[in-house]
Formats: sequence, C-alpha cells, structure tokens
Amino acid sequence: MYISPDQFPLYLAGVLAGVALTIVLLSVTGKRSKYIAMGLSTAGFAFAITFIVLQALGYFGTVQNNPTSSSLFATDWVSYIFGVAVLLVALLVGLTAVDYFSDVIGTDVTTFYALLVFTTIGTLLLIFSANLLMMFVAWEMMSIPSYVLTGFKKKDPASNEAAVKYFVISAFSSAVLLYGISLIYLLTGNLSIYQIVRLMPNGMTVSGMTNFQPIGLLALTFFVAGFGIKLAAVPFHMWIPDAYQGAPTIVSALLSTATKGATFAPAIRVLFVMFSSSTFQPDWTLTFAVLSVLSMTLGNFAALTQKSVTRILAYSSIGQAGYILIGVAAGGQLGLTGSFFHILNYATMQSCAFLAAALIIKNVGSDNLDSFNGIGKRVAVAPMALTLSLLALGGFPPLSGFWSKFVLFLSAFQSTSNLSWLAIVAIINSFVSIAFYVRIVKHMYLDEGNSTTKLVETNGFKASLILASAIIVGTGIYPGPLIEFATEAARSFMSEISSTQLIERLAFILHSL
Amino acid sequence: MIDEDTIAFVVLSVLTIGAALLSLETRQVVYGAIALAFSFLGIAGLFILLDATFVALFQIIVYVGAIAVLIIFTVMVVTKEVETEAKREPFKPLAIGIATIVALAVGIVASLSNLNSKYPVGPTYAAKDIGIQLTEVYYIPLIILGLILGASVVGALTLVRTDRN
Repeated sequence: MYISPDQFPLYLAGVLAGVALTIVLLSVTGKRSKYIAMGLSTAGFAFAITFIVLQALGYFGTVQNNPTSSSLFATDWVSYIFGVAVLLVALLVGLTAVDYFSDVIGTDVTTFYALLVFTTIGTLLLIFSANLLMMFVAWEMMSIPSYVLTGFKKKDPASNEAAVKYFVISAFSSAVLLYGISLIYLLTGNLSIYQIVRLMPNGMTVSGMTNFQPIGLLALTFFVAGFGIKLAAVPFHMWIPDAYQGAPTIVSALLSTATKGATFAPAIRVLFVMFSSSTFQPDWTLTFAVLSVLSMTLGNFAALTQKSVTRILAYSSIGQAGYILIGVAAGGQLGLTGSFFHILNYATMQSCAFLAAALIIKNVGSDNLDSFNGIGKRVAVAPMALTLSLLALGGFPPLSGFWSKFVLFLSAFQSTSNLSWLAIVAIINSFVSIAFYVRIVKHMYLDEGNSTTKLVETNGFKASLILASAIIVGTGIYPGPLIEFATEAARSFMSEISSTQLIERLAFILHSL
Repeated sequence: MIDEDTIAFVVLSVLTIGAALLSLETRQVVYGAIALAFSFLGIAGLFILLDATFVALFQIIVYVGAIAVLIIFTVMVVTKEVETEAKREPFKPLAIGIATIVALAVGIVASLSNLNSKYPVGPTYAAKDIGIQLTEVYYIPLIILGLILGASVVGALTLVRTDRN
C-alpha cells in the first residue's frame, strides 16, 4: 500500500475523525455506553500510533517529504516523534477518564472521549502542518475542544473559572499568532513555511519594500508570544497554575503535555526554518536564554512555596518549559536534539505525575499536600508511579529525565555562543527542583496520615500508570533509541553530524566523567 | 490637497475607534453591544478602502449580522437591565498607557519599514478567485474548519445540557 507523505496526516485525521463522530453518535443514541467510547478511542489512538510507526519504518513508500509550496503538511521525523508522544498522552488520559469521572455528578463521559479525540486530531495536524494557514486552523482545532475539557466538571466553580481563564488567554494567543502570520504574508505573499525561507531574501526587492527588518522582527515577536503562551514560558505563564489546578486533573495532564508538545513542533519549524533565511538573521540566542532562565527560576522557586500538589505540578510544568528552551537558545543539532528528547520524556513524566495525582486527589478529595500524608500505605500503584515520575522530573540518574537534561545542559556548555552560564543556572535550578519533588514523596511515604483505610485503584488508572512508569524506567535504562529518533528529527533542521556520531560523542563524554 | 480617500479614512477611523471606546465605557450593556456593531461596520468600511470588498462583505455578514446580533440577543435574554456598578479600576491609567504605547510602537514600526503589500496596485481579488483558492488549494483546511464547527457544537452542547442523573 502506497501513501503519499503529503497526504499521510489526512489518513490519520480521517480515522480519528471517524472515531470521534462515532462516539458523538453513541452519546446521542441514549445508550451512554462509556466503555464502548473508551474502547473506541483507545483503539483509535493505538491504531494511529501503529500507523505512524509503520510510516516511519517506510511501509507506505516514501518516509519523508520535501514540502513544496502546495503541500500543507511536512511529514518528517519531527512529526513522527511528536505525533507518537501526543497520541500516547491521549491514550493514557483516555484510559483513566471513565474512572476519574465515575462519581462526578452531571457529566457524560462519552462526550469527554469525543472531545478528547477532537483535540488530539488538532494536535496531530498542528504537528504535521507546514503551511501557516493549516497551522492556524489546526491550532483552533486543538484549542476549542480543550476549553470544554477544562470546564468539564460543570458543577465545580473552580473548573468553570479555569475554563474561562484558559479560554481568554488562549484566544489571545490565537489572535497574536494570527497577527504574526498576517505580517509574514504581507512581507512574502506566501504561507508555506518551507517556501517563505526561500522568499525572504527576495523580500528585500519586493516593490516598495525598502526595509524588511522591522516588520520581520515584529512578526517574530508575535510568533514567540503566541507560542510562548501555550508553551507556558515566563512571562506568558500567569494562567497556568489556576487553569491546571481548576481543571479536572486528568485534563491538566493533557494540557501540560500534549498541548505543549504539539505547540513546540510548529514553533521549531517557524523559528528554525521560516526565520532562518540569510538576509533576515535575527540573533535570538540571548532572548531565548533569558526566557529559559526566567521560566526555570520562577517555576522552580514558586513551586517551593506551594501547598497544593496540582499547583506544584503546574509550576513544575513552567520550570520544565525553561529547560526545553535551553536547547532552542543553544541551537545547533545538539541543542535541538536535547529539546526534542526532553519534551518526549517530559510528556510521559508530567502526564504520569498528573494522572497519579488525579487518582489520589479523587480518593482523598483534596489536592492539599497534607492530605497526601501516608498515602503510600493505602494504595500501591499511584504513589509508586508519582514517585517515579517526580524523581524523573527532578533528573535522578537511572530515569528518563536525567538523560534529556544531560543532553540539554551539554548543548549549552558546547554552544558556540558561550552559554555556560545558562547551563550553570539550569543545574542550580535542577537541585532546587529536587527539593519540592522529594517533598511530595516524603509526604506520601514518611508522614503519618489520618486514615489507614485502603483506597480503591481502578484498572483503567492502573493500566495507564503502569504503562507510563514502564516508559519512564525503560527510557532511563536504555535511552539509545529515543536519542537516535531525536537526533534524526533535529537533522531535519540542521545536519551537522549523524545520530551514531552523536551517540558516540555522548558515550565518550559520559565515560570521561 | 486632501482627497476623498483620506476624508473617508478619517471618518471611518473616528467611527471605528469612537464606537469601540463607547462600547467599552457605556454603563448599559445593550448600548455597548450596539456600539460594537457600529465599530464592526467602520472596520468593514476600512476594508472597502483597501479594495478588499469580499472581506468587507464578510465582515458585515459575520460580525455585524451574526456576532453583534447574537451579543445583543444574549444581553437581552440573560441580563435584566443590569447597570454595571462603577467599580474602582486602579490599573486603568496604566492599561491605557500600555495600549497607547503598543499602538504607537506598531505604527512606528509600520512607517519605518515603508509598509507596502507585495501586490501594491495589482488586480483586486474577486469572490470567485477566493472561492477557487478555497476549494482547490485550501480545501483541506476548509474541511478541518467544518470539523472544528462540529467539535464546537458538541462542546457547547456538553456545557449547556442539564443532565438528569
């Protein structure tokens, strides 16, 4: 079977759209069969993952495409790894939703699955899009269902408040992004990300255009702000803690990982492809280094003072965005590899943490740190998964987070623009972050709780948490393949060295430490 | 001399900005909604000045025809002559200042870069050309837009439905 790589995302979107519409039909027929919806969406996500993996292995003919002016999609390694990560998070969240909403009054879980699949279609199209118009449409497809997911607990004022805050800020980010797109269209008369880079030098000679730089910079600013809001980078982070705390905790897992990962792919395409033209060469190293330092420092230090587990995780999400931006600031193949690798690990670590916290919060009825006391004696899987993911987020050696942080910090040390200071700040931040990650673990295992009654762990949660923990531990023990994928993805933007050379270099540095 | 384009531009700008300010400042929500409709009309006029007739028509049909009317309906259904209380707004001067600075900055950047379109005096786009572009080049985003509408309807129904259980 041959599938043109230009058309590949359409097959993915088509299958998932079919799943979503079937679930919608299921929910109107009156038989609110939430288990069928769960099975359908899980099967859909699993099918999509398999489909992407087969495409990446070359089963459908050409593996990658060279986006032309008429192609709306870029099918390359960036799309593959981000697509699989996003689908995996959606799968994990989907497994837990029936159990999570089982005792919430006034919800119909079937429509939750429909909206989950709709927003996943948006994230996939966003990851694949190589055209600014397609990107914006996919951006809306991702955002609109997620507003409803955030406010899914209709009777809970906190959930409503979170939805409104998320909606307003997110609509603002869409508007800012659209402004940036329109300025780029004004300059080049083209919307294809991969064509604009070729047009930009000619932009100087367009009739009546004598000075390209100011509008180009203005557009770049708008793009950074628009993407920054979804990426939760300081100073665009204000909505994060309230939104993540108020939203149903499993939706926070989705927002903090799938949305962020899906935003990162087009952001890299826009920055490293569209704005990389030789005439228009903005030097953004310092800009992103400053954004990175601000995000890390504010995220980690604010998390130290929080009393609520979801808020700690929200600030941790801001801090992790800072680490991811190190790679963008450092640039080069190593920097991008680090960023891609870290965002993949971050997707499993953060979603696992939020999902485990969701189970505990649902059972004890509060997200206060003190209500987590002694939970280690009351349930088995959730505290274990939470501990693993928190340690991985903190960067403890045998777990996945350690490796990606290692590559990121290394890229800053080896950057040509002398970013050693950034790496040092990041290492200090890493140590600070361990304090609040371990604090949650201490509350769960060492502190005495008020009650010792066993809590129920449902199968959906168990399956999801065990799968996520297995990925965290597996990547930690054997990080080779993921690093290789990340390098391959980074090679779409800068090809300095091959993945085997890079891994050899990493191994050499590790040995000499 | 001042030509008629400039006069039209000034009149439309005053209408757009004035109506927008009125919609923000008025205490009666209904008047605010009506002022907003006038602001949208002014923007449609600006689009006509730019030779973008198609966009202007859409602006009138969608914004004035649908959105403004929807807002007015919502205001009439939901509120019962609620006058918004005169609240203390400590950040108002700051907000006005920042907005002015941003507007000025955009204006300065625009004038510095000798702002011009790639198609300065080219043929204006007819509705037919836009239709061809939408159905032949950008038909995939068009389909996705349909899907977005579907998802929005599902989302809206989810939020407003009252469940019995």
